Amino acid sequence: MRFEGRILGKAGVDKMQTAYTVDDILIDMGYSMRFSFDKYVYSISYMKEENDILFFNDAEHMIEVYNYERNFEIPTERANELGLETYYRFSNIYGKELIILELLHRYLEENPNDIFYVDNGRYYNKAMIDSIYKGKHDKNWMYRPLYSIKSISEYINIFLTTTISYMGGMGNITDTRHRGEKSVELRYEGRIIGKRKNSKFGTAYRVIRALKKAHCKNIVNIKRESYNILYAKCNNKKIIEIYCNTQMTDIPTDEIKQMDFETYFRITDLIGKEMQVLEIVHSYLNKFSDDIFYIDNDCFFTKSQIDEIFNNKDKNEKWIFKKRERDRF
Amino acid sequence: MGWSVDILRKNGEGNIQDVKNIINIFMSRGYTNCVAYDKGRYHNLSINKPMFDDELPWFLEDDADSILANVDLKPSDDWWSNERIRDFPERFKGYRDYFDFEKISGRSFMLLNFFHEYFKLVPEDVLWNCYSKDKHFYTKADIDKIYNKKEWKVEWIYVDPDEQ
Repeated sequence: MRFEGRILGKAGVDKMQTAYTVDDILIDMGYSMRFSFDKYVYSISYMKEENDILFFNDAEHMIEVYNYERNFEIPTERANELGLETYYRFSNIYGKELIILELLHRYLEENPNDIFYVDNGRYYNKAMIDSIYKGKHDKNWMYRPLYSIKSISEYINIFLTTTISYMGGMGNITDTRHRGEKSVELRYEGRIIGKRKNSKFGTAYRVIRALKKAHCKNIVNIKRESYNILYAKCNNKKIIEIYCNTQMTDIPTDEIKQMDFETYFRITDLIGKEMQVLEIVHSYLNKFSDDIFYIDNDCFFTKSQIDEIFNNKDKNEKWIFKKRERDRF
Repeated sequence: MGWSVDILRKNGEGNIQDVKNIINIFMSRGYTNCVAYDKGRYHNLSINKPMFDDELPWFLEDDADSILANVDLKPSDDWWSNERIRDFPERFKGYRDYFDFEKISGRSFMLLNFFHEYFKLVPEDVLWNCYSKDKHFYTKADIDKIYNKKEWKVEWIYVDPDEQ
């Protein structure tokens, strides 16, 4: 099960100045091996303590931090009311809860007004983190309900088994540690962006329809507070993961902000399933032709461009590395 | 003035796996602070070995503690890249450069170390010293021969591999 954590700070501030605070703290904590993948709108830092095997072949001990330098993201309506936006995102905190606790303790010392948000709907401020930090360190602190329950591991076991049985044996695939994903992939994220709407509830059905048209099977929809996560098996047996924003406002660049667009769907990984993604996006844009596909290497694809690529006989996996053409739309 | 070396491949196509290979090799040799700048069609790599954990690359004194590289994810097809591979000898026709190291001066030992490891993973690639007078090519066998010598010379990258 994947859980994402976010550090939220005051909205509307230039985040370039604080871009590497978390990296510096992690280095102080001993995570001195750092590989950073810089993508202009955000940079992804992969950090590790030591190197027994090759750097990318060990995903379990690696922390993945997104520094949102230019990306504007408000995860929930409550965060919007409080005037907060995302500064950092930890894309997979399952199994790394105690490291995050130590990190937050140090981070909130310097930035006492920031909030930590887990996508299961929990918000933590400095006082709460301090009280958790002072007590006996428990690796399940993030998932512990605020009311008391006798055995937290029992609670989690029930939760996991019910979801796994619901998903009909697909349970293992959503746990990144058990689906044979031992190495880290350098990520390219694709986003389907469209006109800003008041409510994005119910947009998930759009992409489910596109997935079915593109011959994807075993579609699983997991609800979280700010988005739904869709998992589907595409026709080369790989699992595709799509975040469907329901509450989250996610505007990657200024250009998109000026167009008055925002993200509806985020496809978290394109490498290895480029042709499947092309098919999904193609069938999506057939129905919703005003939307645009955006990849975080700064490429935009309109419907006509996707059609052109899709109908080209010599299409290959390199289609995501298009030369940048700003003036097409 | 910078003097760079290129790595050639049959169709000139790099991919994400190459970036990972390069970083893996350097990470295992103590270059613990690496950055890849995503420029769309190519990646710009900065590879550094800081003395202290948070030392910045521009304060590193030794040349061999840092290097810059560029990896093309899509083969470039402009005039210049076609012009420079036009005079290739028969045995390397059809090869294109997909990856280069910038400013190799003072870094020849670390590069020898790197290429020895790199050619184990991708044995069919070729190293090309494009700015030397005779434009030498180094295959895996050449690199292995130089690597296994008792004495390493700093000038190995400027000398014809057959004469070494």
